[in-house]
Amino acid sequence: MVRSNPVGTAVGGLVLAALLLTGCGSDDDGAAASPSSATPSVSADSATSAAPSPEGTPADYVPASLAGPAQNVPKPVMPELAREESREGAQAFLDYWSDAMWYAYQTGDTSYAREITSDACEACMDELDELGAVYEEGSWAIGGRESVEISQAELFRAADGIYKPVVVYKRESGQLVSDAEIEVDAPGEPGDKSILYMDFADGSWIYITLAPIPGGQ
Amino acid sequence: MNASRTVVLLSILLILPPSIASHAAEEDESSSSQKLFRKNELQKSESYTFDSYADGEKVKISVDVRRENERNDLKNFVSGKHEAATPVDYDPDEDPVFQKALRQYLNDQGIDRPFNPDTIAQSKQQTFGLQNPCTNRTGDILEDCLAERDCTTADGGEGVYMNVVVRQGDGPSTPWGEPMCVSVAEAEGGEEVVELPTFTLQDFKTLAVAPAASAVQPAPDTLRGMHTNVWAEARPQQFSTELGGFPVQVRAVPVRYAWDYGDGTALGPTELSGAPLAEGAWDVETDTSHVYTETGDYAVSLTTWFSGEYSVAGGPWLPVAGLNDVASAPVPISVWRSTVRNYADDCLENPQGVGC
Repeated sequence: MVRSNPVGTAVGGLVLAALLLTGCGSDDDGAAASPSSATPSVSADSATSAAPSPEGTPADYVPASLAGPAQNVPKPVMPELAREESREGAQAFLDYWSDAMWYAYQTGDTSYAREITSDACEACMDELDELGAVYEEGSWAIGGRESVEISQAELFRAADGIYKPVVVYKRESGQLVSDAEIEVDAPGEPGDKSILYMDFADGSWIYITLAPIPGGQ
Repeated sequence: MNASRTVVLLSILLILPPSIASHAAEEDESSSSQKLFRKNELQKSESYTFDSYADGEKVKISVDVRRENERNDLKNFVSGKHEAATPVDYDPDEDPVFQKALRQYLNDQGIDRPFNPDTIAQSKQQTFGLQNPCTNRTGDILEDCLAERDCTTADGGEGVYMNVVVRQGDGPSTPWGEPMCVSVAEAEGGEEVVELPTFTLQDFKTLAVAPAASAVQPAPDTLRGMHTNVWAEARPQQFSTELGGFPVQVRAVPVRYAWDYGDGTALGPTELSGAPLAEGAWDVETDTSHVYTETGDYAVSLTTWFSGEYSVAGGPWLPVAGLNDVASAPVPISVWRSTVRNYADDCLENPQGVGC
């Protein structure tokens, strides 16, 4: 799984640069933004390295910026390994989960994330609901890609029948853009040890919730 | 495991002035509508209540526990008079977000809670311990292993997570599921399994678990041959107490009820608590109603069984082996007979008729 570049710092100028580089002129929103803090080095390789799906990123992919939401975002694809009840399978599932969450953050389409998230998690549903609502209002998110890495050597079912591996949760910095302004500017989270409640039922994994480690914080 | 870090934890929390607490609470409110980019914060959100017994005063502090890389957020700051292990209402709906999600998920799957009475019966022989996941490693390998497992303990010190294991009698230790963050010194103890103090049924019974409210309808008088309704109203409760120098949180949840109607008949134990009749209704057969066949003065006795779960020093919730039976005060009831006769005469036409 190739992890994306942090695109949270990208601003309008980046999209202008990206439009020139890729020849994609579908939207002219970028014209309004100031090019003063452009970071061309990020835009130059973003088309090849920000690959959220195994098939690679389409050439016309445009990451989100102040000028507009991401365009031509590849849909997440679940690999076969992610349906395997093993440590590797669980990790592959969590990689797919972060793809699905990032797709939701980039497009407002939360359907992929909902398919693999238990609706018992009210905080999850609230987050996805708000994400959908934000895009319906014409706002969009920049960055905020998440990742979950299992840091526990063995994976086993807990006494109540579900899996509770220790994981490292990371999130890149992200912004919420509303009415051409940054409404929320969230710094990245560098890696918090957590427990992830997940279950394997009916041939597939399901994300239940992130939880703190008992005794720790 | 040592008691000192607990003491440190409590003193750290207690020195925070209320002004900081209220300030933090305001901040918390202002940003609560935003749910994006806050998964780590929102899904892991939890609060604990600690009691301090210093100077005979109890200070209850509900804390939004600090996560790695972030500061403490105090939510409430309540102080009160000290009473030994006073129950606080425990509402499962107020559980931390992640616990609620887990409980709802398990309910949806039809998986019983691990704390149901049958499971508890099997758990009588269980002891819990902490197993170092880095056992049998030494030197650099041990350090690598510890480095991969570092966490921050409740007092903000360096910690390592240990697997919580359960042992049935003399059998082998098996993972309980959730690991726990303990200080590095404890992890290097050399022992394979560090036993956690077990909160026994005896310990559980020393707590002042509030009995269920016992109700009889109608009361204090009812009729022979009529359905007399009884029901129980028991609250889930939470206690803060101490065990072997560790702070222990205990939850008592009512799971079974039994009634002795006082006339030689009884009901239960049953999971049904009964319920009051609809307003104006009477002589209705319910799950818990009883028909007295003899007149007289009786006392309806109710026993409620509570299942317990406990958490040592903020660790995972573990079941108490066994149920705590708590008796409610008997409710006196007088059973009367009623006689019904039918008369054919119209008293207006025949004022001297029988029954007029």
